[in-house]
Amino acid sequence: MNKTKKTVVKNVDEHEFVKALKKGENWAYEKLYEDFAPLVGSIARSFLRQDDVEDIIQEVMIRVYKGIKKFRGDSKLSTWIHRIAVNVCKDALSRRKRRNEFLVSFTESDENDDKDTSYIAFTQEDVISEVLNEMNYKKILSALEKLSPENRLLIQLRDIEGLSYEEIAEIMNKPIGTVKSRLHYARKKLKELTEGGG
Amino acid sequence: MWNEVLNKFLDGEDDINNADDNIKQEYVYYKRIISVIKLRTEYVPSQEGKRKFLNEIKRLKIMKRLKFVSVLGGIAAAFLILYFALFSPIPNPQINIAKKNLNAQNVQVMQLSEEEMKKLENLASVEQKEFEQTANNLELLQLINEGF
Repeated sequence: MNKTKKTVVKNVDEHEFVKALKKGENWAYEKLYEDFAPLVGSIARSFLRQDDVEDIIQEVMIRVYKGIKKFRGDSKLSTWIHRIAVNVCKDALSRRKRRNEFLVSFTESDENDDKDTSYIAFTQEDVISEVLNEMNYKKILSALEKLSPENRLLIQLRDIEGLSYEEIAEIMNKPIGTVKSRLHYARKKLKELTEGGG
Repeated sequence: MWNEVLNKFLDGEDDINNADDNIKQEYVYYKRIISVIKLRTEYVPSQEGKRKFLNEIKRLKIMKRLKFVSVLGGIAAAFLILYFALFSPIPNPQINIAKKNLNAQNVQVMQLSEEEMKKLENLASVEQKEFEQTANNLELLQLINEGF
């Protein structure tokens, strides 16, 4: 029974999938996690510059569960989930900023610390730098660090996940023209930063 | 200027094969940066995370059902209370007490006022006098009969 469902799961169309999610069927939530957790994880890693994003994924998935009844299908399910992910990341970022502000005010010794040596833990660093030896890997990561969360998100959504401008505009709740110009700026900035400028 | 041209190729509006060498070089460079970022941000969720999420969903479903059942139970209890209060065949002790009180009030109403009592006493004394007179008359008649 379970096996047949698991094979069917991969080919189910979005309308049926949403219907199953609304009914609260277990296989649908398994599929939801399998399909969208990597996506949400990538967005969170890019936006928040941290490796452990499991809590963010959990929060996004729970919000999807709680809000799926209100999903009318005006946009694609993936766009809707992207939007939730971006909102959860923004909330997490503002929480972290508040916490950091609080901590900074209590720890004077931290004032002289290098702020750029930040959240990224280079788990795959050695492997990647071997593969891409000719490029200055650390410089790219440093450039990525220096980009604003919004610029990183734009690059993530457009150049890595390949979403359309319309979808990005919907996710970020901004006009298409604004998204386009900001992405173009982000690309330019990223390139400048990797070349040692900026 | 390069930025605008490059963006067209990056957005797939133009085929990169039509670009000049400089743009092609920039394009490849940018794509490499993106591939590094992609590797950096790629995330493989854990099975533990999936299990945790599915357990949380199960918990939320149970909570939802419990909430529904308790609301339903509350409504049913309210209806039952209302029904028994309005249509109950079981004698209500409070109603009996009320009835007793009502009877007592009736008894009080039956009791005569002082004035009425005096009237009655007067009437009785008049009747008694008439009775005595009649008795005297009868006694007189009896004496006549006996040869007075």
